[in-house]
Amino acid sequence: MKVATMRFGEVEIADEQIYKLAAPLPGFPRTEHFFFIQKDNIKPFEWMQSVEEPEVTFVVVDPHQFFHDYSPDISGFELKELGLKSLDEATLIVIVVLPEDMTKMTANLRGPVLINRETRAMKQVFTESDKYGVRESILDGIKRKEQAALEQKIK
Amino acid sequence: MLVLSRKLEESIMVGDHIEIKVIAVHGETVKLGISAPRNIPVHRKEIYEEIEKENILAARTRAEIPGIDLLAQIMKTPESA
Repeated sequence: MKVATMRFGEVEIADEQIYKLAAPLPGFPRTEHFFFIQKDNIKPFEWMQSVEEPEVTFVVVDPHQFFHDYSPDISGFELKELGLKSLDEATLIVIVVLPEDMTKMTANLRGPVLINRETRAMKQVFTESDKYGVRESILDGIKRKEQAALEQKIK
Repeated sequence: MLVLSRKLEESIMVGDHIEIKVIAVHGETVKLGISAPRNIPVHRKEIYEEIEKENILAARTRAEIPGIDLLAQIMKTPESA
């Protein structure tokens, strides 16, 4: 099918590329489906594009790229809703905010997006505890990751 | 919306398994105790609103990211700092 997008123009996508939200993404009640667009120039980030709303596009990333020990506490209810038995079965992504100054980019670790790759169901969930914030510095995450890797080496 | 009056220590049931009890009232603050099965997520409305706000901000990313390698740029910065 052809999807109109503001950022990428008209895009041809297969049905198998479309993910359905199990619950609306907070702030975007009119979007029910997303698909992902990979571009070399923003790796390891990806675009997450709304099918229903051409102007709704997010930058998302696998949180472990930057936050090595990220372990969100997600309720069993949320997992079950997506047909997942455990968090290990899920793909997790987080939504990124890219300000003008790239060093200030942040990721929303409080509200990760949970994906069942098999059924292509997805949902933004809220972690149970407030261990993670909605605006965590990606740069700080990288620094901690490098620090941890260094300490591992010393051991 | 169903509106109910409750006194201290009184509660309401939502379905068979969720109990919401008034634990304390101090001035304008009402402390509620919520007993729900572990698999039912319970959140303050503020969390929802915070995430909603952040989503809206995230979707506002400027239209053009000039052909830069984002990761290269942010990876470089910690070393130079």
